[in-house]
Amino acid sequence: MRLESAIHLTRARLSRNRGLIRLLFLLAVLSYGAVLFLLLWNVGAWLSYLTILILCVVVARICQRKNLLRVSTEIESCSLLDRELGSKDRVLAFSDLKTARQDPLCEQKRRLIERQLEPALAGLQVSTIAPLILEKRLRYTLYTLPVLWILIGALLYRLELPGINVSSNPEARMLEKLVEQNPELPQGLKTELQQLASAVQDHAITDQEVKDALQKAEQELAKSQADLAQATEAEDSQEAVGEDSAENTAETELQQPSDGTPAPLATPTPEPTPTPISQSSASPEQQKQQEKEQEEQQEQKKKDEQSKQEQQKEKEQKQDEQNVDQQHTKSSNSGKSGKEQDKSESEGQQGQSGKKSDNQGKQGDGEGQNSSSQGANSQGSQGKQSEGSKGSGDKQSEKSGQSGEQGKESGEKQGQSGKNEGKQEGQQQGQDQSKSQGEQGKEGDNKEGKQGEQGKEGKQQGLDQAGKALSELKDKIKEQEQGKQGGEKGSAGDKSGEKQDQPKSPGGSSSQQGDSQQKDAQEPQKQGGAKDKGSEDKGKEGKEGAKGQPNQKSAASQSKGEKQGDQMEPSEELNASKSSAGEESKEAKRFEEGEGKGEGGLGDKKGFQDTQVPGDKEKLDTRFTGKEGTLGKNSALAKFKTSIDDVKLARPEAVKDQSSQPVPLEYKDVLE
Amino acid sequence: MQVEQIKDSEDLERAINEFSDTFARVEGEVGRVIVGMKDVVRRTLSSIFAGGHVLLEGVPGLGKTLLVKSISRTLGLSFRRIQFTPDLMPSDVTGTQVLTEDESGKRSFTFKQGPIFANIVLADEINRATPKTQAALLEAMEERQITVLGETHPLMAPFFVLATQNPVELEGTYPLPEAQLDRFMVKVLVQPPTSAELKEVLSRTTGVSIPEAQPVLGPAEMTKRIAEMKQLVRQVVVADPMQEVLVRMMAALTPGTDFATELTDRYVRFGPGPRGAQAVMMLAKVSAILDSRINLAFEDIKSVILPAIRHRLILNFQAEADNVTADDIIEQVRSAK
Repeated sequence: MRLESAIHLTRARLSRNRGLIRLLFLLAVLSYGAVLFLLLWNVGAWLSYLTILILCVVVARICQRKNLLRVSTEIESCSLLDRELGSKDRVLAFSDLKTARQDPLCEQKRRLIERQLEPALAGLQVSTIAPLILEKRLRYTLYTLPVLWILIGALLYRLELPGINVSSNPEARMLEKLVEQNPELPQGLKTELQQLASAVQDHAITDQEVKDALQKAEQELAKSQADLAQATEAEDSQEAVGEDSAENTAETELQQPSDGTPAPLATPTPEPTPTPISQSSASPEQQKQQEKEQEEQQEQKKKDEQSKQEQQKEKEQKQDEQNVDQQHTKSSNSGKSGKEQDKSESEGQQGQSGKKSDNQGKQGDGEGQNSSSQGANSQGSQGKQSEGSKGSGDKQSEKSGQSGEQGKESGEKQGQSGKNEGKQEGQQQGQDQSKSQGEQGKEGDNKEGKQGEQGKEGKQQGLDQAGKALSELKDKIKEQEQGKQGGEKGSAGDKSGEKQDQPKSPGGSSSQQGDSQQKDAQEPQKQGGAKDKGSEDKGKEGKEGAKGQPNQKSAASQSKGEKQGDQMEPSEELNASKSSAGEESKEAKRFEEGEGKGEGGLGDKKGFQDTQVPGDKEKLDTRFTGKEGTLGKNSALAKFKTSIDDVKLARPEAVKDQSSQPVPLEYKDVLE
Repeated sequence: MQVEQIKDSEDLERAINEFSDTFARVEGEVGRVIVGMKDVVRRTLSSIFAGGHVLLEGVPGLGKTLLVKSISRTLGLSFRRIQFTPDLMPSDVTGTQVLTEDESGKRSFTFKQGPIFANIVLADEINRATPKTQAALLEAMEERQITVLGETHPLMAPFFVLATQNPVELEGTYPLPEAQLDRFMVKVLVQPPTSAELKEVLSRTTGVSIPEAQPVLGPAEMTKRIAEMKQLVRQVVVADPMQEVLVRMMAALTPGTDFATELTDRYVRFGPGPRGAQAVMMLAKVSAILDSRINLAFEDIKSVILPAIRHRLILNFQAEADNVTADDIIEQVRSAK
């Protein structure tokens, strides 16, 4: 084998070995990465991705350290051959001579080296020179790979990744089916259900939560179906009900005001009870069945409404708690607005109850229920009228939005007078409108039917607006809570700062001392020998008082101290800052050379600053010590400031440190 | 064989063999006189065939002067000895202008050559001369010429300075300046003989006949052979990784560099300069040829770095206080993988 081919073979072998090691390393890393990814997927997808990222960085570092990405060079293979053949770097020189073409003896040297290595190359086997040697760590890692692969398979079987199955969660699937199977659902409900399904899919929601949500959705579905059924029935009954019903309703409306029982304000307007199609045409048994059904529906509606009312009340209560501060600030305005809102509410309610000949003013809905129970003849017309009026009333009330609902509470609490006025006005207007609308009801049944349809639309709009308003309110609540928390933290910080600053602040100390002075003041008075030292500073006065030197001045200082203490409490922060500034000035920062740039130090300017000493205080003016130096010369005889006789001459002492210095190396031999 | 005469690898091999043969013959002839000190003789001869000067350091009576005289006699080259003393003047080394009168009575200045005009100059106890006199050797050692009163005189070729110095008697001595030390290719420490060697020395020197070294070749032939050998030394191939190794070793001995060891940073004031690296390379090449190789190996560098660098490392006082020598620092670098 020639040396050239041996070098090439060795190099190829090295490249193959390195590639194999690289491959095995990547395989191990990928296996471990996959296991980590799948294990952490349940904890959080972001954690899995983060782990993969970290793993990539670690792999890059290891590849860099272990030179796994480096391509095998010829020098490497030559060194390996030299090591194996014991040729004392001859192969390296042989390889280097290929590039040294300027050397006239290059070929001779190459041939000489090759000739010298011929006996060693004769029995050379490259496979023995460059065997595939795996590191111990990598070898052990490879042993674990089958286990890892089994683990990956098990994890993949158990875990359902989003890419594999979109709706793996059964609850989410149910929700999606529900939306697909009921296309007649309102759009808002559909979107909420879809959001719920996605939330269930993305986040781990318990079965109970999903069940509750499903129950709610079913209830809403049933309600919407019932509404639809009522609407269709009402349309059918609209055709059947004639002028007699209108007359009957008018009569009943005239009879009802004699009750005079006002309904509670908080009760919302109930849904108008669907009237039977026609009593004259239907049999009494059918009528009874219809009545029963209607009563059951009414009861269900009442229950639903009550639950809604309770929820609304709770929300309003929360809003009230949050708006207490706002209401305090706007108390004057809120009284007025409460009145106005009460008026608007009463007007809205009057609109609903006006046609039902209600003297109660605000409770048109409750009366609607009463009227439905009183007579079947009047129910048809009342239903239409109430629907129409409800639509308009809802519009009015729901347009008022947040202010109307908030104003209710604020008006109830703060503006009771306005409420009473609103009630009275509402009653009067209700009486007037009931008469007028009773007459109008006979005439405008067709118009009211249209108004009923508009009322449905208005209801939906109102619900949407109310939902938006609620979401906005929730955001506001969160902001307020955060603000409160921040404020509490800030106040806590201020308090702690005050506590820390109190001992430093003179006012605070004086106030404390002042309290202690009152107790201690009597003892020195009994002694009567204490002198009044007097003090300029109030803090000192306080201290003196604390030491127990009572007199008029100290008493005055005590009172001053107390006053100051009282006065300083709100301004403790200022005192604290002053005291801290005083400490800083005591411990002024020393600047080293090149430091304190911009802080009063020289900064980068190395050197000295020129300073001028005022000439007036100088005994010798240096300006006149040049050529005319005689001007500054002191002609008087020199005098000792202290006579030598006064000074006791001390005997000089040898410095011990200098006497015990080590002998330098160069003089060590000489001294020895 | 001259380098120009080399046509193929056989010629090259023959030249290498001639080099080794000549070296071995000189070494053997010197060994007849000098008992032991094989490493000293080998280092000295390597330095001579590499074209460098040798500084021998050892206590008196170890045979330093005898070694130099034996080498010069074996090589058959002209030899002069200068005993360095404090009152030795530079002109005593280099020579001076002398007023002479010819037969016609005409007087003129003629240059009278000093003892430095020889192939091999023994500067015995070189550290006893004043720095001024020591400095007279600087130009001669580096430039192979001297300048007297503005007149330059080339020295004989080959020109080798073999200096000795006594490390013990330091009174009345002037330590060689760094510039002077740097001009010596190797500094060989002459160690006292072992018991067996001493016995052999006694038997050889106190007997009836005292062995004397004989010239291997005639003066002219030896001069030519030395020139050829110096040319062949320069033909040794140094692969790039080997140069890289040498550079890193030099950097490891220089404080403040990236490769400097802890000992270097702590005890070395100045590291070896480029001349030190050159000396290592040349000596390593001689070592390679003596091993019948035309390429330099890492082993060659390791074997010669100690005598070639030890006098180029200037240590600080801390090293002196801690009794750390240059050899300790070099040994640490040499043993590093």
